[in-house]
Amino acid sequence: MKILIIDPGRQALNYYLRSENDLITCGRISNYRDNEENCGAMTELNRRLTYEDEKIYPQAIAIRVPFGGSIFKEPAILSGSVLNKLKNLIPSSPLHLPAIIMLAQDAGTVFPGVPVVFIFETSFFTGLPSRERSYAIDPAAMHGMEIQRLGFHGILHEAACSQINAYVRSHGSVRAPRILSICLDPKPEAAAASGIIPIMTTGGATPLEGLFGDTSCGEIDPGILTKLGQELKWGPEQINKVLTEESGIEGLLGAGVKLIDIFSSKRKDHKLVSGLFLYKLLLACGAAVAAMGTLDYIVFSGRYKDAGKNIGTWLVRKMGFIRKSQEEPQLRYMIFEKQLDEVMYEIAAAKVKEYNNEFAPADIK
Amino acid sequence: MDSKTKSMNVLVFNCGSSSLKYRLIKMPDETELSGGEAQRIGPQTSEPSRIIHREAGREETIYAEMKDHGAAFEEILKIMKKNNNKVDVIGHRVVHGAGIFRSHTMIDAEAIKNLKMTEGIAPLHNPPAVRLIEACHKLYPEIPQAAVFDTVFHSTIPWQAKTYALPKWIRRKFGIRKYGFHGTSHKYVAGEAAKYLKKPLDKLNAISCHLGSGGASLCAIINGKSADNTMGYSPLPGLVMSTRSGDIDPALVLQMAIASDGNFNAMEKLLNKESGVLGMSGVSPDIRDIFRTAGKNGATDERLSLTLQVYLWRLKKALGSYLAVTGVPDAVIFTDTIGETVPGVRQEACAGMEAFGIKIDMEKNRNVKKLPADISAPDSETYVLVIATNEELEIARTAAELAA
Repeated sequence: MKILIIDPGRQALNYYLRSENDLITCGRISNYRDNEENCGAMTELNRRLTYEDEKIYPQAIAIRVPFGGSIFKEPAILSGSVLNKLKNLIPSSPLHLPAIIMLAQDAGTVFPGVPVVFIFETSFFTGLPSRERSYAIDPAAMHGMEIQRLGFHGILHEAACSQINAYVRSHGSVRAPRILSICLDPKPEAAAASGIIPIMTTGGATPLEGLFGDTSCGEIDPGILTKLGQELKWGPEQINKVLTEESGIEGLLGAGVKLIDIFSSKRKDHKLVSGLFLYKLLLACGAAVAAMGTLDYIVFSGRYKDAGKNIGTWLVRKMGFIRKSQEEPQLRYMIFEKQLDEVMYEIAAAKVKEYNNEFAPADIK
Repeated sequence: MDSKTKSMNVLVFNCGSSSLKYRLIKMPDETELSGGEAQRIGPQTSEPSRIIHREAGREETIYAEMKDHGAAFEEILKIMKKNNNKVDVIGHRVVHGAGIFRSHTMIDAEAIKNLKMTEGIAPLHNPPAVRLIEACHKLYPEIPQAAVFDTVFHSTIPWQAKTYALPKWIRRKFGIRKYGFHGTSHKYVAGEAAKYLKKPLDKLNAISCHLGSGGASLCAIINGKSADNTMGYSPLPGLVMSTRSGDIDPALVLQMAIASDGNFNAMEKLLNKESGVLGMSGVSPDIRDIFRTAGKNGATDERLSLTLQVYLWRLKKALGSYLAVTGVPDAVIFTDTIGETVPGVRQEACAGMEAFGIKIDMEKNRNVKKLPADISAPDSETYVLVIATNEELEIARTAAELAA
């Protein structure tokens, strides 16, 4: 089955056309949101789907959706009711959902009859305990917005934890492994899970909270925001721009350096920043142990997963002091090698298969 | 206390926005001679301004007009004179030393000038204390005064724990970094824990849990020095507090600001005064009330139960985070109103922490009568101590050392 995988960002859209074992083609469409007329982005995508001058038609389309609220606990195939549910969530994710809805509708026009699968980053986290999901604010202050901690790299966390779970079970263990899954991406995130049940996450209601990234600030004292608003007379949008685009490693170093690069650099200022990042991960490890009683595996995934070798070695050494019974495995780290598009392919293929089975005529079933 | 320190009476002031707590402590004996609180300072309210004064086991209420903290100070000194209590030194608690005061200081004109510069960074906390110091200096210039800062103990927090990943120009322009708070209390209980364990303070590794009925913070202590604190640039982040939100997604704050037409003053009020236990429960800012009523209130039960769960969960995660920093510590210390008096909070915070070498004895925990108390189980690698904090005594010690 050939599946077109779409990962829409704030400005650019990344796409991957995959078969089960191969990446056939991939690319990027910039400023895709500006081209709304005549199904602009999807038409352009359709034009680009060729291999050795031969036109390729996808059998399914998978779209990554960063926010699905507490409603979407699993992937969903595009339908009228799914679209309505997504539209109702726009107030809680106004930056992402309108563009995704537009893309999905255009996909129906440009690729008629091809099922569109929405895969949500938040589905994994809908299982978080309410004590982890909740913020200590008056619900009435949220002006009707759905406000809860739902993380934002759930697709990779779930896949990485599932792989460790399967590995542990294949080695005869019946106890769910206690895992800290660290997604190393431009906006990184750590999540703790018992087997594949989420327990905690550094991510928040939006991707801004938690670990800092290439350009995002991560967790900061909320008092700083009111200070900036009062002193600089900046509006929320202007502050948001600084926190999401000019902070993180870029803000610390005053230069555009990626997270992956500071871990291979010998520069003193880069080492300071990598030390800061490691410290935040150490705090997350400690919180995970407190939340789950212990920690068995640390797993790295994401675009910058290769930095996991250095980070994993350091974290395992630092956390080596935790007390374990003889039956418990010693703490170790792993790298989850699959990239997001591969994982999305597997999820979409399974969903389409399930959908086809469900809607196939009874005699064929 | 250094035995060479000469005998002196230190009057310690802890200044609130409309109140002034005081204690007169004889040093170096560390005996409390008197104490009390001036209440309803400022514009006239529904009840009169008054001073509740305690001395020699007796309590009296003195009514007096106190238009500001300077007036309250004059009234308190009158009481001291009337009772023949000599004041040799005054010690002031100042919440925020900003980046200006890296150590405690004696007050002179230069110090007052610098103190005024801290008001911008801590507009909710420092101004009343600075006004009081100014008034004391003007009215009684002959009495030496010391400013003792909550933030000084945290001046040892390393770069990786105190730096926010914000643009350099913003950090520099506004002095934005983690300062940490409750330093006087964390320092005091760390000293008491070291004494209890018969260990030099500079060899003590501990987590201090200052759980007040209002504010609360945890401090990671390595070799007797602060290595991290859950509060930050301001006393807002970290644990869930009585009316403060603690940690919150910064984007949520911005979303709420958009919804309130960019009114950041309203945001500040919401996050500092209307959130935390009060905002979540909708009933009370005091977690003890939630403990008592959760599970007994029918319709509101779910909200109260969630409040309690979130309060305890954040505490537990923060404790775990700092244990990763210290490794198995010598002690976990619980202090201040909630930490000292609510066994359920201690029990939940320490439950399932065997991986960190922590195990408490349920019976000992339930029956804490005299402090300090060790509530750890016999097979716990870490001592779990309940220690009464005494910030005023710590301030008196510091002021006496500075004055000597």
